[in-house]
Amino acid sequence: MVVNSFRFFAFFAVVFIVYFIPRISCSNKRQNGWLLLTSYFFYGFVDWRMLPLLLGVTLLFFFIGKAIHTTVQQGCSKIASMLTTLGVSAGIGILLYFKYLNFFAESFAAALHHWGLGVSWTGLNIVLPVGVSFFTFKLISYVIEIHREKIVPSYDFIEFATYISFFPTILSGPIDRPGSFLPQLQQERHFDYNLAMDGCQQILWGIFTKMVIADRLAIVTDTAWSDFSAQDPWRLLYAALLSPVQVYADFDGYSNMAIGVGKILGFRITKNFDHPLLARNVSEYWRRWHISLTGWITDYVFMPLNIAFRNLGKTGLFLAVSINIILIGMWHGANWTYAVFGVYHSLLFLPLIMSGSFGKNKKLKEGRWGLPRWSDIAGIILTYLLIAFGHIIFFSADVPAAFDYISKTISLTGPFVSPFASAGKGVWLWVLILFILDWRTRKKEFAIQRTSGNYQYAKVRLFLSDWALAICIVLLGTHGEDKFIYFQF
Amino acid sequence: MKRFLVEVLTFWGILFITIGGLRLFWIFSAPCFQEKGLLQGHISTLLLGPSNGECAWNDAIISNSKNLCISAMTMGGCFNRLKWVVEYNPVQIDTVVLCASWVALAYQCDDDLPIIINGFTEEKRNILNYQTFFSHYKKVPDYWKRAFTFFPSTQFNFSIEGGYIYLERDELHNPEARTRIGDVINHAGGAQAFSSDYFRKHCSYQLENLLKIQDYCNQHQITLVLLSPPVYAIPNMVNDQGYRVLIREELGDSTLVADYSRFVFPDNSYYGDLEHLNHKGATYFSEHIAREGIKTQYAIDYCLNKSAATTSL
Repeated sequence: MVVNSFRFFAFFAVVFIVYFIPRISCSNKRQNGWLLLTSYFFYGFVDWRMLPLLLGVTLLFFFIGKAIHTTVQQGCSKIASMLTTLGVSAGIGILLYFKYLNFFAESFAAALHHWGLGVSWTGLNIVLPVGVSFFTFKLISYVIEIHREKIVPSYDFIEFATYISFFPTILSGPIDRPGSFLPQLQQERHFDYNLAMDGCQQILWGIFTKMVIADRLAIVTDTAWSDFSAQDPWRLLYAALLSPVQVYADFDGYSNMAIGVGKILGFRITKNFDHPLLARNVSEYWRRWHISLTGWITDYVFMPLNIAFRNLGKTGLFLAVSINIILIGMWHGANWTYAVFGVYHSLLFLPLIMSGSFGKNKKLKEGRWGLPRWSDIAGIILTYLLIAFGHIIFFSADVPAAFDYISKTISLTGPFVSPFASAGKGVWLWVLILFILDWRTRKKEFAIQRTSGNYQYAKVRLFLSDWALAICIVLLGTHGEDKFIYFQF
Repeated sequence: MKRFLVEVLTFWGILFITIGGLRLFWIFSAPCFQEKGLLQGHISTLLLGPSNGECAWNDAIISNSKNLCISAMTMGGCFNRLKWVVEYNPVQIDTVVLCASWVALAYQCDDDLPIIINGFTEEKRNILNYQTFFSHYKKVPDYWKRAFTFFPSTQFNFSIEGGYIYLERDELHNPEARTRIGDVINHAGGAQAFSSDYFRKHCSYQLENLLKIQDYCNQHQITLVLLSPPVYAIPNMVNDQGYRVLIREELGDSTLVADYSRFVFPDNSYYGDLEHLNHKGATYFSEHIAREGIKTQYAIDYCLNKSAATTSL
């Protein structure tokens, strides 16, 4: 049940109507119960086999969370730390088992075999639970935040289970922190017209970027990644250049739909993207890209490491950043390409750290003719190219394939193929449109969001933009069962 | 809440009405094929049928011929075009090559090829359906404009022929499609058979109009040839004996058949997808026809000798 399908909207219509029935909406507990029921139905619809796992880990962390809080209150910090370690280990263990066990075991066996030791590994038939990378991160942050005394644990299991399994975000995030989401579950949600309309528009924008832009670009990029040996170098180059926009439009599209659905139900979900196409260096890119994940890893991995390595100066900072980025890479899946992707990105941080410009946020200002300043444009283009290069590694089947792709692309042998002939003019036009919209609406959460000010003018403009988007979706969208890229992670 | 529901429902309601209106507008404002102007020059051979023919026959190479095939054209559409050409155009048609392979006939039969093939599992149907239909939507970005021709058993005849020939698509080199094709061939393995009984029952529209075309050709002393253009995989996995029986029983022993469905190309790069040639394939095939002429046989021989019409290079 993908979120841009009619099936999902039918499901959501039922959720919405029951959720705001007066007898339900008069109590946050009833609303939570209904949300939990529908979230489990949603998750079970995607993969019913993993429902016991979801329920089991939710119960485990619910009790661990309570135990940590109790021991912290009693001043038993050692036991609290042990329990927190247990919780974090359980979360990491789930990830390691379901996502990485075969990968690490195979890699280890291959390494031993390479050194002459006759070790082999027969891969276990492990089914990867949908959304496991997202809900385990929620669970881990829950116990850490309790241990840090930033939140008090939830004493209502339904409330806690609803936070973990909330259907708009369980499959592909955003990864909401307990500190921001649990308080929302603890109060009644009354229908908020303005928030709901904002949510509707965000959903519309999400559908547009997914179905009109991402899926159209995917026609070009998918072919290149899946069988690059049959493609000429120019096509491979264009596919690589298109991939950052495709992935952004795809994942941002999903995030916008999830956030929009949350808004209609009265929730404010963490923002996941902040116009990453406008990033002027790689550090800024990671601050704008997949914010809920990068923020999570920054808080729980980077900050402790940075403190631990602070005596090492710039080397320590580089080490902390590298571990951080490699973990982000590996979070995506069990493949060395993700590790190499992380190493590549961490190397991009090196000049920033050495020059002392790491972490310095210069505001993106408007230059002449309403465009960014030339220096910013140069930075944006350079960053985009570096990101596109990284995507070759990210999306290749394995590391040798990535190097083959790169060497074939760099060689540019054979006759020149025009980008318009190769991918179609429309594809490049959408890329340009997305860049322009990102720039023009950089202060908004999403491109067609309502703003204050001249309300009548804004209303007319939004009315027209809504219609234009809806008609584009119907006429130009690719109406298949295309899944979202981040479902696999 | 009420205001929200009213606004959302109004928006989507008006949107659906607008889109529906636009679709109707496009349908009724689309130029009829007659409006393209009359056929000119020396044209004696007319090719009619759906996209299989459109993608195979280059009338610039095969002299004195005109390819009026169009994607998803039914036999009813072919009949209308034939009448228009014969009765309103200053050309003397002596041969009608009708692309009426079982693939072509069955596809315009409620747009559902696999239903007339006994023994196909749901999975295989999906593979076939996806490969042969939906890939077009994905690979041809403006295909939605052409979707209006997909009304089963209707006689909308839009004048957009020629858009499909010179297909640049190379589905057989698309790894995803290649896997699907491989799956079809591996799993189907010739165990399926064309069901003439099912076709008679569910595709009577096609059959009636096929007979009308035959009668019309007889009345106007036009030679009718049933053409099966080259296709990549389908003939290899479906027993078409039922189709042969159908042709013989319905159209008679003396019907001329030109079966090029097993025409051999040097390699797979000549196919656009499972049942369409691409530009390279159309050129190659048309040059062959121009050079060798179209080889035909009577339906009775065709029915008895399965490989008689096979032409290899």
